[in-house]
Amino acid sequence: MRRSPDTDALVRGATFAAALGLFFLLILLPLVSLNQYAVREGIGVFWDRLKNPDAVAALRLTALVALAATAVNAVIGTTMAFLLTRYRFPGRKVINALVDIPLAIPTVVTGFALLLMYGPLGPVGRFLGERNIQVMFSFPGLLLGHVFVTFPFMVRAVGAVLESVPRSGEDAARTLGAKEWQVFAFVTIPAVKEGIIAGAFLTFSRSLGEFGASIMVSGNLVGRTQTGPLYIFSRFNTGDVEGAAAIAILLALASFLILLLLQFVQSPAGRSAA
Amino acid sequence: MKRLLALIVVALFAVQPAYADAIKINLHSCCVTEDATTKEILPAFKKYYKEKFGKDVDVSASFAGSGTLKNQILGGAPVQVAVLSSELYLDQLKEKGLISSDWRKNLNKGAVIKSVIVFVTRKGNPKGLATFEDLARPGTKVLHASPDTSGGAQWAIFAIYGAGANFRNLSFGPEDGGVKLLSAVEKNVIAQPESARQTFVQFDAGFGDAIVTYENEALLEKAKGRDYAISVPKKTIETEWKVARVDRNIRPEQEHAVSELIKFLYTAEAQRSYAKFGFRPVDKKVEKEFHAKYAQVADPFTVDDLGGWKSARKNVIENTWKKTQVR
Repeated sequence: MRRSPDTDALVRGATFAAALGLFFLLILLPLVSLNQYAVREGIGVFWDRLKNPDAVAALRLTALVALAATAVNAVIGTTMAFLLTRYRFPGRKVINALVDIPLAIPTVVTGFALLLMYGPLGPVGRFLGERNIQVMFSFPGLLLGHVFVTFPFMVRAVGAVLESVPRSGEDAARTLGAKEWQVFAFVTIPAVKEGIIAGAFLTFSRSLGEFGASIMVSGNLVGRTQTGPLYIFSRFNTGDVEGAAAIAILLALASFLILLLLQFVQSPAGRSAA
Repeated sequence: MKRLLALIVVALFAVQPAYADAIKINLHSCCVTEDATTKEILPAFKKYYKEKFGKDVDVSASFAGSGTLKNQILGGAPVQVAVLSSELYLDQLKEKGLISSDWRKNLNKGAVIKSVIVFVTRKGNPKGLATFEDLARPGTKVLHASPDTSGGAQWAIFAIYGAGANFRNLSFGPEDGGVKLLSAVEKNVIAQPESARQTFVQFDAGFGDAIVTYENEALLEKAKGRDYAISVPKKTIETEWKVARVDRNIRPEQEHAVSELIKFLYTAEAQRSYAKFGFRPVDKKVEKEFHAKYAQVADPFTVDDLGGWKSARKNVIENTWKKTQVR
């Protein structure tokens, strides 16, 4: 059956309106309400809450952890994506499925698992403890939590680009006598630059908002190991909703700018590949 | 595959208990009361209500840190009864118009259960921690929840401060014994999770030498078979949980069940259930039955000795504790 062009336009218009409307209702409106709360007492109060030393410390820690987690996953995630797309080995499908596990399990569980592993009861924790290395309730513990939670983003972003990059370039390099690591470093990496950038932005944004694992492994010490989202949670609980909303707005805005930037840095080729 | 999915969806709906014509009420109760409430008190109340009034009542309960629960209620959670660990939370609900009745007029000024703040140590108390001063010893690792989210943590901080303070002269200045003790203990605090429950999760994973927490939590962990030791300091604070009706959320048809539920929490039956799970009952007779279960505190004090909740919250937590966190 052929539909008339008029019906097509109508359907297209309706779909367009419905999608945008739903997006506005489900995603944008809650953010707008947050904004309303943040400035309810005036922009002076908003600014005052942002200047609070505990808030500044929390935001600084959040940014540091997010940067560190992005750097770590850029290396591990890219290597992992390379292995999964370029090699065929037994158990590849299982590992491929396991990569997304951090998205599926509750982040609090992630936190608890890390506590068990790096705590005095776990073999790793005992080994480190004997050497007086305290991983949990400090920056390294927080970093481990964030690396775990954000792990899939880099692997998937780079993997998607790798799938679309033909192997011919790598094969050519091998024919010309390049070693395997040289192929990886000088041929593969430049080819998947777009994927690495996309993965980095996603990892960073996700890390900014991480809560569940952080509250278990960070120690939640005000001004020291409390990240932005934990700070928001505690302000909210003490009834300082303006304080909570002020920081929340800042984090949401930061994420938005990062993701917006991502839209512009990706070249058309990279975008179509991803 | 499609059929399997359909089956799962049908199953998910089918497992919902069908209380079609039951009166439904919601209870928000501080996280530490979860076991006593879900395992004994609510089933007993359901039975009691059916027998006495011939109607089904369905109470759904939700448990979290008292601060979290208070915020959920402020945010519009349709809750009719709240059992919270801090009077201040009830006051906040009152200020926002959710509570219009005077919960202080309930039995015991609204206090429905009590406990004391103790600390839990590793098996056999290897570091010999007996007083709050011991927790200040260098190298001791201490856990308590965050006072921003947990009522229990606020009590714990009151307990530490009070153990060092002279109640006739609460100056909150640097020479105040309570301030000195609290600052010294806080130096040893390695983590402050969201709720009293979470501190045990971290302790179970091997972190810390001592948790400052409610006695009932400590007894509950022992009952679960953990081999931790409990230290009851000579001087510590008596804590209490208060119940209130959230008037604005009560529809006429719920009125009766709500007031019966609150009354029921004070009955010997409910008090016995609370006691079984380690709380100190407010009912004198039940308290006698369970007397042997609780350590006698030589020198107990209450939040009133610290000037009442409002003043204690401001002076001990917002001013003193907050300062100990900045390093």
